[in-house]
Amino acid sequence: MMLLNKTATGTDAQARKYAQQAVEELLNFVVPIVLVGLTLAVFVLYLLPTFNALPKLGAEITDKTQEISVLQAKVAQLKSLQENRDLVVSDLVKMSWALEERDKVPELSEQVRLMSKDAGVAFRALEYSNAAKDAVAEPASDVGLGLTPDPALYKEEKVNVSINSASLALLTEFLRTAERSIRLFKVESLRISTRDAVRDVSLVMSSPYLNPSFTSYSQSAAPIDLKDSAYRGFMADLDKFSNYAQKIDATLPKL
Amino acid sequence: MPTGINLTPPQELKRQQVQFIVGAAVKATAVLLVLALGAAGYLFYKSGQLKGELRALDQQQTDLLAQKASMREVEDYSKKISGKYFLLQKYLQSRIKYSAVLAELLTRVPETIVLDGLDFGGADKKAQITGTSKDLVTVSALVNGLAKEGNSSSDSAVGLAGKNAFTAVSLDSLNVTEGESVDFVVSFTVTEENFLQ
Repeated sequence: MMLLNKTATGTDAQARKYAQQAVEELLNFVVPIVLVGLTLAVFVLYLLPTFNALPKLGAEITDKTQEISVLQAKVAQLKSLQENRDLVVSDLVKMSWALEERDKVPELSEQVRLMSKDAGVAFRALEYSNAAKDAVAEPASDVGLGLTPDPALYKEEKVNVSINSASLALLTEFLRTAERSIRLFKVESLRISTRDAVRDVSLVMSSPYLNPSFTSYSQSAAPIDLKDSAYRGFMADLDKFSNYAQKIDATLPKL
Repeated sequence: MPTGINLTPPQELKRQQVQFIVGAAVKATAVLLVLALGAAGYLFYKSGQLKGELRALDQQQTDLLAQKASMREVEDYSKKISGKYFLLQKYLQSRIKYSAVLAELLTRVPETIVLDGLDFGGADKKAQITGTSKDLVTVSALVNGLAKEGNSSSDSAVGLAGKNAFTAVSLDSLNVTEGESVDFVVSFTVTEENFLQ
């Protein structure tokens, strides 16, 4: 029994000794362990995320630089427009005479009467019915040519016009006058009959005005380049048109 | 040859070994940490630089947007012009110049023919002229004249450049009263694409 107790006491002492040695060894490596831990912490918590974020930041800078370059060009264009504000307003007024915001049928009728007078033909009658008022413009047969504007952007008001003309030359002049009117007219059909040497002419004329969807369409359009030669040429042509609308009502159109 | 006897106790030898290993480990890990801190410092500097650049760009963008907003009115006007210009251009390009059609037609009608009626733009896009002539030869001249290529009119508004003004010209009816008159109906199609503005 005593021998057994002695052996047990010896084993415990040895175990304690080993444990103490192990702790001492571990304590010797505390500093390197802490240093490795710190290195890992720096690596995982800062180095890796920051390193991964760098390309994203670079891409963000590239995108933003591109956005800014587009914006700079736009602002430069707007500055140029701002410097030529009077020209912008005058161009828009002209275009607003050409494309009314509303149908303005009475004014349209009066314009036809004035055009007849200027062309030397006798205005006889004008008929209008608003049955197809809400119908959007129906493009003519030239859709296939890709020339017709999007019919969703405008509507057309149609009127039946009757005039008397002493000659076909005068009728040609009336048509020419209508083609040179700043408020646009399109002849849909033309019928001429002769009665006692007088030409009875019946025309269906249409005139466009803007559809409400035009506003959202124009908002998505790019600002106009005032110096564009095609545009300036177009505006110069528009200047040659007669403004019958202004003769009837000199109030400037809503911009 | 006498050999040296190492009298250092084994514990001391072990302690020295442990100290050497610990020292080496401390140095190695310290170097690693320094390297990691160095890299972290570089990345901190680099990311700070990029973030600074991004902040400057943000500021530039804000300034530009503010400038743009201050010119909103003129921008709206110019956009409206742009939209209307496009629409007007397209509308005018799709408009048939009936004055030119009529001028072109009248120059092709022989002088001795009396036109009683003209009809353009019917549902089937067919045009028709009715008239009276003194003889059949002039009616034939009218039909041939209508089918002729190129401009007959001096009206410079439309240049046909050798193209047909009218196609599908046909004599629909003819009524001859001997010694009096020839009544006729001629139908044709206006080549609309040649009379667009």
